[in-house]
Amino acid sequence: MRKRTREALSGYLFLTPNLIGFLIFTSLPVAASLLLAFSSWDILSSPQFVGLQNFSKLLLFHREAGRLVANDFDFWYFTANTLFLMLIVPVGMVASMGLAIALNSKIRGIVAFRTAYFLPTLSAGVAVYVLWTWIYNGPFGLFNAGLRLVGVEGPNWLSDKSWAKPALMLMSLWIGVGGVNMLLYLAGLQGIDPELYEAAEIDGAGGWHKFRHITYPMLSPTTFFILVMSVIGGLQGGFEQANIMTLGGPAGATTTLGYYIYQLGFVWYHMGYAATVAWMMFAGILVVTAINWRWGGRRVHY
Amino acid sequence: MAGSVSGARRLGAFGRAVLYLFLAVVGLTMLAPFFWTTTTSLRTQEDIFSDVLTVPLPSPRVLSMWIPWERRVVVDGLEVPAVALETLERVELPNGETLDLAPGRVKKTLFSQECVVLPKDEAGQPLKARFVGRFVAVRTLGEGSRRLVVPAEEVMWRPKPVWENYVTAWHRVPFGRGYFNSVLVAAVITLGQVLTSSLAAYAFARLTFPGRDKLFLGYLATLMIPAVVTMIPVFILMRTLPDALNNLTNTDVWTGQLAVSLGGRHFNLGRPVGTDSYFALIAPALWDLPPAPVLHGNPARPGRRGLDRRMQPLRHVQPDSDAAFQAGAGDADDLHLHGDVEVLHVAADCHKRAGDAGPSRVAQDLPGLSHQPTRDEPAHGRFHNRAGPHAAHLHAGAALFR
Repeated sequence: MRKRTREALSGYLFLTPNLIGFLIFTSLPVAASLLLAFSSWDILSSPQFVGLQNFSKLLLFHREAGRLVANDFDFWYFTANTLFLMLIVPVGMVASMGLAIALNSKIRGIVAFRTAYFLPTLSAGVAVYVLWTWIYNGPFGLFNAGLRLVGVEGPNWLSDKSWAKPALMLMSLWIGVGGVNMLLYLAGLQGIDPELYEAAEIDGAGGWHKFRHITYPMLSPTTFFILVMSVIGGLQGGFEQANIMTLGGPAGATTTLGYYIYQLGFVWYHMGYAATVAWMMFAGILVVTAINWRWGGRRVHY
Repeated sequence: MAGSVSGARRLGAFGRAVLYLFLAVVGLTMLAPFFWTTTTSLRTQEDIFSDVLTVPLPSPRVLSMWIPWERRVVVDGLEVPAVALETLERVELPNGETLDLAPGRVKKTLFSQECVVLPKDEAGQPLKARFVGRFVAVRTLGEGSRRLVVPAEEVMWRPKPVWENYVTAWHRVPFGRGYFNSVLVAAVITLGQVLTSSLAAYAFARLTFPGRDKLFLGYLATLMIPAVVTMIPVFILMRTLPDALNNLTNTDVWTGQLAVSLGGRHFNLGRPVGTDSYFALIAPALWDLPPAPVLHGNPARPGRRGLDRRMQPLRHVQPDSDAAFQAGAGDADDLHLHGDVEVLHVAADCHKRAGDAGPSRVAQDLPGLSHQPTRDEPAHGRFHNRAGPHAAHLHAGAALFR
């Protein structure tokens, strides 16, 4: 056999085990999902091709008593919910960066501190959501017990329409602040050449100037990466907390796009329409990420 | 050596104290919920839920909710455990009359002792009572259990963890089965991922074959699709696959879990064996491959052949790519979440390493990646830097302890 042929053959052989799974569990579902987006399917009967009907229901508006009303008001409301919940992203990024700077100090016991801050991430999942469901409980919860110390009687956080979202945001801040993002910043900080600081000190730079002109720009690739990832994660997110803590309530106040898709598909059995919403979400993520990439890429210092 | 803004050597004693204080206070808020959930797991239901009753506790109420308590009352000179039933505001008597249980009145008119048995009506039911007040209806536990009304101040509080909760939970929830499922799913995913992906990654990174770039682009494209998009078809697949496997293998023991392991892409089950294009894509970028002559033989020394290609992944590549493997194995589902864009770095890096001349198709097709190194930057410059945070991601665990 010629060398080239042999190489091609071994390439395919190397790839085959992965490719089989890839075809069955990724390519096939993607194709099926794309077909579903143009169909109506309730699982019981066979799927009906409905053309663009799903998309017009999702995106278009109709006139009702002289006013424009969205065909699927819920979709827009839940999109707004998703975006609202993402407002915590920049706060979390600033907090993570600050925490990383503090945790980058060489003081005794720093590893214990880092571990403590990382603990919520380690234990994240159903257990943490159940825990926070109790923390936010009105009469018995830890959160309100803390508020009582300062004489405030808090609401029943998760069943209060205006407080449920902020409560979830605070929780995700708690879960995420010392987690992977902080570690990324920490690794970024540890990758900065100390000579830069030494040089700056010789030039008489103080703490703020060193942060502004060395730390911040040197961390910008990390910041950019975290931003892009958080935005993608945020747009897709909210499923677990909605499913475990609030069931999307009260009155849909904590339903995100991800949970809406789940409800459409697995609660109401609108499989086709759910696929349509999922693809629209994908399109949204793609657009936002492209914007991020263009906009952020220019601001990143390499 | 790591440099830092808050470089500790430059911190004075005061700065150090402030830093400790800050880290400790914020750190307490991170630990408090865990501590709370632990102590709560040692409390009885009655203990937890009686906190709202206006029963005076031995310490400020906020503190009291951190400690598992047991209530005790003195009956006939003996201290016995009691369950607080309710705190009484008033008692409704059988003749329809209601009496406020104001402390003075109770002692004078209704009860003659500090500790009294609630009268029962003809049907044997205790008197109806409403909440809030200074008297507590308790039931003593143990032999000769009695229902009493005692002044709240005389309920005694003793810390007592209730370990039985764990026994109850163990019997109520099939933990063994749960652990078994989790371990099986994790093991299958990890093994399958490391095995298939390292092979695939090697093929992408080091071998040339027709259609490689197209396949790579296919992996990339589907990787950016969120799991919710494929959730429904995967769900259908998972519903039918176990049956199909059962029919094939004539068994129904593990196929369910195996199927879930294979396809459990959504709901944080981790990345399944076959769909881990992500890992297949990041691994090559992290492989600090030895110089080509080591791999392929040094042209300047024709006598010395390179390693047999089949051995390369094992001998020379794997040891250098521990980070990638750890990432693939340990952190599958977290990375999974982050897969979408990160992989763009990798795509670029991959193609650089694969030694494609000219802009690769992948790089051209993806926004932000069509950049070619200019004379001013080193050949790897831009992409190498971009892979920085990404590599950091994989080394994140190490940063914890560095």
